[in-house]
Amino acid sequence: MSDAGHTPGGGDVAERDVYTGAGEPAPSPSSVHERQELVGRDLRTEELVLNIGPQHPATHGVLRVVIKTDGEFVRELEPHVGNLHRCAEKIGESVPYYQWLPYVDRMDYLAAMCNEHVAAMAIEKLGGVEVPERAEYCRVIIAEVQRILSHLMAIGVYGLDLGAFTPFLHQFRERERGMDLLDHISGGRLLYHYIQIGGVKRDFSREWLDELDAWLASVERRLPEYNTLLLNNRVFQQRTAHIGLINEETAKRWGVTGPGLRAAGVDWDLRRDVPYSVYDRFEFEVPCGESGIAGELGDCFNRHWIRVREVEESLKIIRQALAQMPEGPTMAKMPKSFKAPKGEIYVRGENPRGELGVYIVSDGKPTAYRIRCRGPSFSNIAVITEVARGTMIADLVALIGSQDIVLGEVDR
Amino acid sequence: MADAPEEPETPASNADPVTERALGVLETEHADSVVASEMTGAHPWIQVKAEGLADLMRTLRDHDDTQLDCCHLITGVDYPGKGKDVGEIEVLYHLCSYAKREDAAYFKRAEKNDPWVAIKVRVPRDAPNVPTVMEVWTGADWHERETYDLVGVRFTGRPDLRRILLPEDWPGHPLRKDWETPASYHGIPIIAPEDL
Amino acid sequence: MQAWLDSLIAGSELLQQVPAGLIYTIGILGACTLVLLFASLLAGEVVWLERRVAGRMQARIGPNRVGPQGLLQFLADGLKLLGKEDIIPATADKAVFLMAPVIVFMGAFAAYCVMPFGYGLVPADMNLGLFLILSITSIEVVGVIMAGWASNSKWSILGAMREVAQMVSYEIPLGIAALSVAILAGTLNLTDITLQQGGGIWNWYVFRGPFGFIGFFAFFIAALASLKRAPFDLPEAESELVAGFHTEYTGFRFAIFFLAEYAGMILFAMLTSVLFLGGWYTGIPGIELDGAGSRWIGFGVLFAKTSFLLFVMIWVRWSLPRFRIDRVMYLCYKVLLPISVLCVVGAAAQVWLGITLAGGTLAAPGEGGFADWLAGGRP
Repeated sequence: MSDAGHTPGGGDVAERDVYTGAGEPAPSPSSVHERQELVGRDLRTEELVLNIGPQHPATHGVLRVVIKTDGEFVRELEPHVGNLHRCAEKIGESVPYYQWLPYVDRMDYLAAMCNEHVAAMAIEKLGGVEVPERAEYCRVIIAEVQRILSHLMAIGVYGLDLGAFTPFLHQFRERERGMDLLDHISGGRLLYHYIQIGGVKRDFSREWLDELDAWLASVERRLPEYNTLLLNNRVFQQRTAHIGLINEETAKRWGVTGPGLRAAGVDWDLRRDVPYSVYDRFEFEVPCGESGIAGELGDCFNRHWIRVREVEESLKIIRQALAQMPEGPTMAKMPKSFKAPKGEIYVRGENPRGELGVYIVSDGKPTAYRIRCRGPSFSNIAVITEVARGTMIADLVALIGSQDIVLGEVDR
Repeated sequence: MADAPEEPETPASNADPVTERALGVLETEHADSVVASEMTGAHPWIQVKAEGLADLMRTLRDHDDTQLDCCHLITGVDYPGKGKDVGEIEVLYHLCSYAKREDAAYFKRAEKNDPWVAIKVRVPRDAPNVPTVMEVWTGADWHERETYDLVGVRFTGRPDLRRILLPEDWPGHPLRKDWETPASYHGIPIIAPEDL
Repeated sequence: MQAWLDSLIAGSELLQQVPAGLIYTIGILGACTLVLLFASLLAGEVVWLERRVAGRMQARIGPNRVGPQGLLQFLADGLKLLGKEDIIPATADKAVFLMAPVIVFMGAFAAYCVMPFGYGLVPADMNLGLFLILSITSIEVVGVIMAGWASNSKWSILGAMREVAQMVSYEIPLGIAALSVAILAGTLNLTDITLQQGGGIWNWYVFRGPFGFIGFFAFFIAALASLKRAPFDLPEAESELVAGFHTEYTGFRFAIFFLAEYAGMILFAMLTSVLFLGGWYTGIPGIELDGAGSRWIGFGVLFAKTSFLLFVMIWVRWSLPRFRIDRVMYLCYKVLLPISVLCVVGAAAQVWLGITLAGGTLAAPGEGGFADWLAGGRP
């Protein structure tokens, strides 16, 4: 029963249209008829159509998934997104670049710094802005702090999805202190506008760096504790191992990126393979899915495990960056009214949830002609239409949770 | 729009190696389809014809030289014309390859410093029909739906082309340049982004 | 109870003029009120305990404002819930919807009437006490189905469906594990079962032979599951089914479900203490606590054991993720059921062979035992 979920069906277009429930034997007319004979003429069985969301604890926001269930099994499902559409791209065509950057925070609001990083890189590359070296280090450090925060959230909330309340609150203790860190440097708790075109808003102070050191040490010390609560827990492993399989082929076909892709066994991380900013100066490993402790490639357990290991790698990166950090200014000289020359650009970066891509077309005006953002969650959630069919409701929750989607980014 | 013959035999020093390889593959396999290309700069691209797009994309995905196994992003950009010219809509596919990670030559850093390949398709605004690539990359499904929703590109040959972000009864496609912000939607007043 | 009332009547001139039936009725009503009050207060306090313990386990504080250490928090919660709007969904089956909480409440509270709180502190000292508890708590299932069905909500019906599957299944290992004690004790009377566990700690049924020991764990796990406590809280799994069968209930009706759940917790913790952990006995030879004065101390001892088991329940709840429904069923039918059957067979064999372990006395080995059989007695 445990691995009933995965259907390795190809991308057959016609099949998707009618949702036959690939892989699941459809009840043949005769068997339905026989059953009706058995239960009598008046009784009939039917599938229960269930609306999960937009307000539901398991959907991490305002995702709405319409599922057809047969008892505990999901026969068909259809995710509906768009409830949180805030026209980030349309606004990008209307406001100057300087003013657009804060809107990027609001896409993936759990990884606002990483969003800013990629978007600022795109605009800088388009406008030919040279960023001071120290600012690049500031950006990397702050983006990695954000990655840890985002992963802590993902790890903790995943426990919540599976009914374990305690790890969530323990992780929030660390997350809270990390939020304070970002608060002290930028003035905001969730949405920062710290990384700006040309550099960063403020240099790190001595006190802040001490605070950061203490926080890194506490995260490092407590990560094994969290693992005893979730990762090494037998019940947790039963709930996640071999569940919600997204294998390599499926992940590539659907454009799944980030931990979901690595869990499927694809050794790919933009920070290492296509290093942007100063990522090429650090030594770190890219955790990849394996069938070590439990589970197999591409299951929920591996996605969770990868996040845990990525926190460790982020700690390494931050420590190296702190050691290497040069002195200097943190902001380039920027004009009052920034105009990008005519042209187009596509820049992508590794966000906690996957690859964020920003495509900008400029026609030489202070506002962009067209801005397009590729939110990783958008592709990561689309894949559930294929892999969740035939799973149990509890596994669907585990699958959505392990994809760690942020609806702000899906809907933009 | 330039035609194919002026393609350089030897790559310019700052030409993007990845795009160049893709172009080489297309030149041999789908010579008729390539309309134009740009090899240098921060955003190199190859423009192809809309007809037979799915086949072309399948070639790019399966050919040993490219192996573009991920459709990263699909974008629609509206370029309205002036006067009688109805203008065009550009549909842009950013593709990338995981399979080529070990291939050092493939990863030779060019100016853009990122091994994606941009394929462009231009279609007239009044008949923005582009063949779907859903059969090649299933993940294109939602991207195509979003492009339809916001820019109004009609992807042909695929099921289920409906709005994804906006409500079903939303008027028009907001990212078209001539889109007028309605005053209200079901009695809810709308503030246009221009007035923000 | 009756004996006490009789003695009361005999001792008072005034009461002798009142019809005895009336006195009995008043007495029974009084006892019921007392038990109800006691159980409700206790349930409220267990809610407090749960929240405080959970707070400690989750690196936070928990309620500490209302009353000393937040002890009166449940009153504030109750008042708040009383003040809430009482919503009955338009499409609900009104009569059934209203009746469901009452039945659940009744199922959880009525079972207290046979509980031996201390020596002689039994509202109704019945010969079928254990049997009565197990049957009355089963009524709760009916209430839950009614709640799920009448709400006319999909989440509710799914929750109720899970609840039925789970509770009906876990009744079996629960009953069978309890039966193993009944066999060892030779009685279903809970007072008698407790009385046999006097003296040393080795006389508790949990330590009297391997089958009592295994049976204790089987019983406790099955009790957890039939109480819908995490990790078996599937009927109300909040991340899957919103709130399960009581999704549509608001205000005090919801509070009743809540109270019933905690009353059930206390009931089963107490029952486990009585069956396996020696009830009101301390486990120290010589301190028997069955005198007229010391029975209240005995009640305190039972309460301490109950509290410990409640703490374990809370501890488990806040440590483990939730099982999946098929795993829950697997655990029931493929693990707990064979184990509990083994306990019954083992206990029966132990009684038949007349093996008394650890110096304890078996209640009814007498006739028909292995020794008699050897001696050519009745089989």
